[in-house]
Amino acid sequence: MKKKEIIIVVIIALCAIGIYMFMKPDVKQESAKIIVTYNDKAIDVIDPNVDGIYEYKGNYGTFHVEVQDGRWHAVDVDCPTQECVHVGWVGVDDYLPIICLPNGFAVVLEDIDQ
Amino acid sequence: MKTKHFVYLTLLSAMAITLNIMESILIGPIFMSLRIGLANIIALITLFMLGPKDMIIVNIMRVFIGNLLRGLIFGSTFWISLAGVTLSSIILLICYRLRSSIVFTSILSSIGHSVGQVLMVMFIYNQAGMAITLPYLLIFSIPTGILTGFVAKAALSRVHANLKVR
Repeated sequence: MKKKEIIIVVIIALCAIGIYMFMKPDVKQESAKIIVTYNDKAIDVIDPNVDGIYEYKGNYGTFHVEVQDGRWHAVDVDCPTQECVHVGWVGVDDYLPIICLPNGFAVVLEDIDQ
Repeated sequence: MKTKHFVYLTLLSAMAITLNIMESILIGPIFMSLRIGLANIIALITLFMLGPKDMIIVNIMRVFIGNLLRGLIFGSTFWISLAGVTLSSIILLICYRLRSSIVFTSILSSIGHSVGQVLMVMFIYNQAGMAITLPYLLIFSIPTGILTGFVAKAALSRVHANLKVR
């Protein structure tokens, strides 16, 4: 790789970190809510501070969201790709949406105070 | 000469499809929906060995036949895959025109693939929130691009000397 190319790659990496810091919302654990959307419509609001397993029926089969100790993940999902399960546990600090494309679900974090 | 060209094209297409299916079944995503992109190695080899037109053919074959064999043709996964491959192919063509190095081309193509996929997910599912995953994918695309770039470079250095290799 040429020196110019290395500089471009470093700039891209720095931009990515900058965008992440800029886009990351300031969500507080106390006011955080997990919004479950199905085909772009909010169908449920989950409190991340209350442990539990939530079941939903999607386009392909069942979709479960498990909440434990303020963190949540997709588990026991009927879909061929299992990509949402691979995302693993996410919390308020991660701000990572869990999306199950075959079932049409998106699990996103929102702050009710904002 | 034409037959030889077709044989190369067919072999490279078969390799790209095989790697695409093998990766999705045996390896899976390394982070979120991000994969290493082993089939991108073949796209790079095709580009520097046979040229841009053949690279586009190999990439289209890999998306259509790869998804057809996995039973995902014309589903959401197919369109997301097509968007990723389209953007990555455009970037490959630009880098090829600018005579960039293989590793750099691979890194940018890997980034383009991730960006294309995220944009398609945002479009299909109307999930603007997916944009938050872009910085993660951009950062993780750099090491995967370096890996595929070095493998493609090593493979290209071993192929016939009179082929177009940079």
